[in-house]
Amino acid sequence: MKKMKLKKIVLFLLSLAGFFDSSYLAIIDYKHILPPCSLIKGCDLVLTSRFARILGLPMGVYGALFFLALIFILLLENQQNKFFKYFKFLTLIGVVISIILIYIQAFVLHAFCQYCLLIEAIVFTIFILSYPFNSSSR
Amino acid sequence: MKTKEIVIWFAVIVALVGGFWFLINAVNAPPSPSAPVEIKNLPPVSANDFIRGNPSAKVTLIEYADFQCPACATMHATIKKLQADFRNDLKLVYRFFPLINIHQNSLISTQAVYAAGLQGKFWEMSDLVYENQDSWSDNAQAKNIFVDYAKELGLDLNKFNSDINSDSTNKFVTDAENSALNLGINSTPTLFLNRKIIQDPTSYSYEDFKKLIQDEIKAQ
Repeated sequence: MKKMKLKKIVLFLLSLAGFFDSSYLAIIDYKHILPPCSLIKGCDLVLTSRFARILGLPMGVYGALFFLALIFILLLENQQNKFFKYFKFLTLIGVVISIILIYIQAFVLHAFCQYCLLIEAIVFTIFILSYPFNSSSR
Repeated sequence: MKTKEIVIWFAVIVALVGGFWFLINAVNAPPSPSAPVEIKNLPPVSANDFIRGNPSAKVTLIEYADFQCPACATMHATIKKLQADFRNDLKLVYRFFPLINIHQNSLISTQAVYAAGLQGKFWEMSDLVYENQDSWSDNAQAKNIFVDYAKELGLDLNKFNSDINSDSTNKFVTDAENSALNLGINSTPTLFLNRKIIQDPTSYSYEDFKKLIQDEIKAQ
């Protein structure tokens, strides 16, 4: 029980970190600012590429909404233990999209964006942590 | 809902809104135009360069850009406006840095503008290419669009079509790209004002640029 609670807190903190990272990318896109790209060369190439926006919206907006949904599901789950299946489902979608985005960075753009990689790492970690999590066994 | 749950919801919403608000303001920090660094190995302006504006202007802005980069299209409009405001004092030197790995029509757009330049219409073509970037960026037949622009500009189409992919055009573009890479440039647009690099130029507002140029004019 205690372990489960700790896991939920970790998932919550990871989702929060993902939300702020995605929001940062959305904000810099709207302000036409390129972030410092000191860790990995090429993040500016990724963030100004044709994949940086989908349907006119920066990828960061979709990421922020994704993590916001995870946060609210966790809050609802905290009240009634029946929402975790939605969390798992969303996480699975997140993993698929993250794999596609990593593929694009590695094989189409040949450049990586550290802020995007951090978001993708968060999604993978959330996925790994949440899948053994069985809401009915609580 | 229990009081504890209300407190949790409230705390989370405050954290989300507060954090978001902080981010908006944090990335809004004004750029620091102070202490610009002079780049010693920046190639001097030469006969190979495309120059717009008063040749004896006090301020020279050297731009490395890619015709398919959206930030470069925005910068193109900003620089054009700046040149109208500083008619006698600002000249622009445009250098190619096509990001061919990430932009499918980067190379052909650069070749098209260069080919137009061979007929004295470099700036007219670069205006058309930047201003209509959305219409050719993802088009597999972008070359046809550039030929239409050439027609619109009254260019000799036979010469344009042969120049666009000639060995000398390709050599010029490759040399320009290599020169930018040797300089360590890794993003577009990269700007140098009187040989001093402008850090993060896309974060500058029009007024920031104006102030930078005015300071440079005063310093001459």
